[in-house]
Amino acid sequence: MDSTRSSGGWADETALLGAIRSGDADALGAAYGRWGNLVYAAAFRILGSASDAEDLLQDVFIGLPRALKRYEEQGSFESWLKRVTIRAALMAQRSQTRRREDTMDALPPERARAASRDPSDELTIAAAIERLPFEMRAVFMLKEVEGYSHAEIAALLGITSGASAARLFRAWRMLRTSVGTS
Amino acid sequence: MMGRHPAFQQIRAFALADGNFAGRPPLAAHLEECQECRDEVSFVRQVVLVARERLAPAAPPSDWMLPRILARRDAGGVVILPTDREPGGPSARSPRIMRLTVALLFAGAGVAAALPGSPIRVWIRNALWAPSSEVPLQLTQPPAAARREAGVSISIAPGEMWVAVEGATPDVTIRLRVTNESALAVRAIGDAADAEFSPRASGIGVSRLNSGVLEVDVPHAAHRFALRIGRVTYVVKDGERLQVLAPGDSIGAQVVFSARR
Repeated sequence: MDSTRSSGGWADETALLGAIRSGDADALGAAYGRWGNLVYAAAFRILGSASDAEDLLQDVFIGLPRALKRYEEQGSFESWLKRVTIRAALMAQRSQTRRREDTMDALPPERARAASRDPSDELTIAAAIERLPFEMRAVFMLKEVEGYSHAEIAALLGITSGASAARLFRAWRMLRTSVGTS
Repeated sequence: MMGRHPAFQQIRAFALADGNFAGRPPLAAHLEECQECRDEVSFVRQVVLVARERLAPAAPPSDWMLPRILARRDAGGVVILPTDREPGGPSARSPRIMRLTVALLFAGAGVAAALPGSPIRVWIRNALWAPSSEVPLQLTQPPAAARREAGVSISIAPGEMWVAVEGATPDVTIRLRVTNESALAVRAIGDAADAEFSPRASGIGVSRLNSGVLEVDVPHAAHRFALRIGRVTYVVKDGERLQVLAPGDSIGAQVVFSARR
């Protein structure tokens, strides 16, 4: 047995990454077990759709061996992988022109009423977040859930820090309107 | 005590315990008396809680997802991911497109210039072999002013590292970026090169900065860092997080400030 593998899988992250780089299928499986949830959650938060997140999850792990050749092993690998996932999700979203064009103003009246029925209802809040226009939802998720700074969000999205802050404020305003607490 | 309701940004910063929120004590006092703002704080916390918990599903189980991934890979599936060194977003692709476009334009112009009687060929001949009575074509550029630059760097130190700028005028632009280098560095460019630098064990003081550009390179490996201009803290780095506390802008990987305050 390879000395870098413990009974529970790969004990040494560097060895695991090296094995993924060289195309080891077992190593890719171990990586999925270790970071699959992280990648899927980041993809889902940006894309807002389980099927899109699954597609991206596959893409990330298929592209990981090649991408790792450009990984410089500085800083946390998880942070790097999350950034790569978010960038890939943003690219995927930009290439799709179909979804999330509807704003709160464009909601059908019955949906808007349903959304404002019970401000304390978690489902209502989750639905309101999911209905945010993509650019606002992305900033909201990156800031409030992933914990990135406006400067980091700006670098990821190719916008200014000020634009990131403005989108976050508009997202919150939409959420307040949608959930009905304003 | 606050007389009016605080702005939403303050409510948000309070509710989410945003570390750089300075107005916490007066807002806390206001909240004791204002049910409306307490509801707002609860709302913010609840929304973020829902976003963090409900919108974080687990990945599909590996027993059916992994075979799909491996099957796609074995079938020759290739995915190029946008990594740090090679971002792939539209803004990052555009320089490549620009370079390609320029190369194509030059190639097209070269082909056109080779054709006898083409307008480009005539234009080049007129430009290069113009009669001497005309204004001579200036083929050389005036010598560029030498770029003045001064700076200092120190090795990474334990604890908080810092750059403290004293007495900067509003004409000074400060550019900060996080690098993979192993030293904290400041560079003063242009008129700023007359500044004085005071390197210490864990930080660098900069004074007599009247105009020009000051570049600050913060090593990624420095766990904690602060940039202060006068008494105001502009940037704080805490581990992986870089918090920008003053109005600034981002240009590529740089955060840019004016020493206005």
